[in-house]
Amino acid sequence: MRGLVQSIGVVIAGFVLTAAPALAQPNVPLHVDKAFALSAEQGPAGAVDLDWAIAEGYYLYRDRIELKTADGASLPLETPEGEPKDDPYFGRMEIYHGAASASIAPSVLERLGDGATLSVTYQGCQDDGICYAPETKSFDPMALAAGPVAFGETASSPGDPMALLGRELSQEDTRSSSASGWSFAQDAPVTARPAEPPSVVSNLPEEVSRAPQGGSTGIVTDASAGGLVAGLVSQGGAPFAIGAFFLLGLGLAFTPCVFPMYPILAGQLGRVGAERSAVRGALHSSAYVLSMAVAFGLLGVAAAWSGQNLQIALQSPLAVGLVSALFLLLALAMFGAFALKLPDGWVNGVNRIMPNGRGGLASTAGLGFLSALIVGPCVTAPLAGALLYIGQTGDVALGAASLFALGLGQGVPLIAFGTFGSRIMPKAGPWMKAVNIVFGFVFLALSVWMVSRIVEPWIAVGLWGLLGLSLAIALGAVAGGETATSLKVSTARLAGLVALVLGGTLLVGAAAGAKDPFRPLEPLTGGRVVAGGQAPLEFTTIGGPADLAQRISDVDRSRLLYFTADWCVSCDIIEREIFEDPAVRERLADVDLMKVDLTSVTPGHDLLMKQLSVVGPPTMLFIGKNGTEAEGTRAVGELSAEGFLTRAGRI
Amino acid sequence: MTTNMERRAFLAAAFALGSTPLLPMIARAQNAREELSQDAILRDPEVPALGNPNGDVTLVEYFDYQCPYCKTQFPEIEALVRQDGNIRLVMKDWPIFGPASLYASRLALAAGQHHDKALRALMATQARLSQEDVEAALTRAGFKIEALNAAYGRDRQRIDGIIARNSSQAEQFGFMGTPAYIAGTTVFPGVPDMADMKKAIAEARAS
Repeated sequence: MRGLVQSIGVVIAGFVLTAAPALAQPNVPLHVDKAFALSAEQGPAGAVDLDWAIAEGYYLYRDRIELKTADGASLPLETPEGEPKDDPYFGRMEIYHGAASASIAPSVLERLGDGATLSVTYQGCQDDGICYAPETKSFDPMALAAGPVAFGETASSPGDPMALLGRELSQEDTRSSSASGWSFAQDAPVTARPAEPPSVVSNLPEEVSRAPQGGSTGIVTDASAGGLVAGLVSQGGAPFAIGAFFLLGLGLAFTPCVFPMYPILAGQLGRVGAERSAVRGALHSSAYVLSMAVAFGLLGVAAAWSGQNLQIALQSPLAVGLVSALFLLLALAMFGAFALKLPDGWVNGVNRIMPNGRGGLASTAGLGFLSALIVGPCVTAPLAGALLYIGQTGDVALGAASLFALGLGQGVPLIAFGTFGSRIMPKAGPWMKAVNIVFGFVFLALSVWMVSRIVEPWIAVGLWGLLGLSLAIALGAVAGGETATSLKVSTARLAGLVALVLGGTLLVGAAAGAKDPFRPLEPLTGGRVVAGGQAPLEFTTIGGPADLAQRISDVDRSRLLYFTADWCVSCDIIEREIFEDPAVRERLADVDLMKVDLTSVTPGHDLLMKQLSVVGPPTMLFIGKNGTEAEGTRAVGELSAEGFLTRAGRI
Repeated sequence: MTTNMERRAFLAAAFALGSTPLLPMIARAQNAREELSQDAILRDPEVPALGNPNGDVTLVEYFDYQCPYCKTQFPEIEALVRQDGNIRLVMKDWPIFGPASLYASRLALAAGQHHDKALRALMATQARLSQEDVEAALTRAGFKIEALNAAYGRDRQRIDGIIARNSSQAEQFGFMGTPAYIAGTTVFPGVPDMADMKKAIAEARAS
């Protein structure tokens, strides 16, 4: 199985990134269109979205983004909050690094006449460098219905006499300025407006820049990355491909991707009282797995419709927060009904939302759906292959069916778990109560685990601490002084005391600002007690296509580009098992390490993912010195240290 | 009243910055050669020279009073000029950060003999300035705002002319923003390495 999974990594082969032309030296500021690459497109519900991909080391001022009509009237523009920058030299203001976006509300657009032109003016700086003169781009919002517009420096110019002049002057100018005796330091551009290829949003090498924005035809990725599904179909037709995806799913069932599903299913079985019946267990776990598979299929449909991986879109603080709240409610329902004397109002309220004991198959199915989409979003090689296949061929039916089969395959062990797990459950008796408390804590833990993706790390550590203390109370560790009456009670108290100590330690750690619940005392020990004793590898963060091109032209080494996110379960494994591996670290010593953090996805990330045919984290691209992705090396999903080293050997 | 004037002046500067009708642009294209002549860049008689006004090398800086790096770098530039002792420092206002920058440039240029002092006071401020901030900084330095505004009113043609010329030159050089420097005949369109700048000055002196 493992061989098959690995061979898929090989099947998903690379594509060619030609070397970026040498850019000017570091001190010479990028052209404004490279520093702040603007594109406009129609957003949801008739809005117009303006997106800037900001090169690394550059920032845009929030309050210097302005929208005007052709006759100079200001129009309202919605911009998200920027990073506050408040220091003695900058004063107080908000800026954007990496990417910025602004939105023109449909109501504003409705008031414009047909054919009205809008102009957007924006201004930013280079970190510790120059501040750009304001840049203005004009566009026709109605024309965006035909598709997004990227503003290269010539794209904006047809109506702009200045740009025209700049070009006319450029040859004469070069001569005249040298005739006047000026020499430019540092190989700087000499012309007023250096000529650039038209309408290129990024300064990635040309082939890549011309990659399909929505993903229909295009760069060399087509043949290779979409090749998984297509290859299987050519081997044995569509049914064969779907069957193969089922097997691939089975192969993935025992990876950490699927692990969080076990406690969720267990908790749910306990909640609906199906934990002691093989039949009900089978029924509920099948419902869970079926809806999980449907959710996978839906990912395919959503990808065809929006060109995006829905899993990533759903890692919003709101969705994650809601699911966390749902788990909290489920936990309270368990406690409320069986263990704790919660106020009646609470119990009734909770029971209204979460009817206990008689939860239907629908609630189990709902959890399965959420689990696949939000709780354990895992990008694996088959998943990426199917999504790319849909993007490239538009064959939603086969793509979605393959994904459905993949989900079913991943779920088979869950059904077995739900069905046969009942055998190990104690029969009815006083233990029933305890079992429900355990499931309640399972949900509580899931709730904390989810919410830790969206809160400050130290808050998460604190929440784990509180969870430990609650467990201690539930286990009777801090109950009255009566002596333990039985072995069971003493064992429970001992476990409770352990939970008490661990919980207290976590709280202390949280107060000291600890970031990792597994190392709560790290801030107090000055970082001396670091497991493994190794400093983490240092990655350069890439915010978008322009960043990447800049980095590729700046650094002349072989490179690794790693897509990761805080919520990516497999990424944690990769970071622990691969990036801590001594052989890997040695191999990476002379490799330029770059990462794209998709924890909160920016327009720059979107663009980059589309251009590189990356579906989500974890994905690794092994790129040679010349900027070419080595053939057959792309790694999607988990891989072993050996697999990593094999790939690294090709760059 | 003042706001109206400011707006008009700002429009004039915006003119120079690019959003202009075609006609004056063409005229400017014809003048581009003169505009970038060494005399126009290095020895504009209307732009006050700091440092050693009789120095043998000219260092020009295109700057904005709200540009953070222009201000953090200024002490280093001043130190260079002081240590060298023979550099003419020509600070060319290129207001790119809107009305407050334009206001600051105008009042500083209106300070006449005390331009130097006004410039230092404004360079020592935080990066972002409102018009009130500009007035407060100049008041602290001992200027009377009414007097400066009156001086500007009398001298408007010269001052607005300087600003428009500076902006136009910066554009013609293809500078993307502030700061940009010219040391002797070497153009630094971005943030310079001070060693490179010293080298350029030495070269200018040698030739």
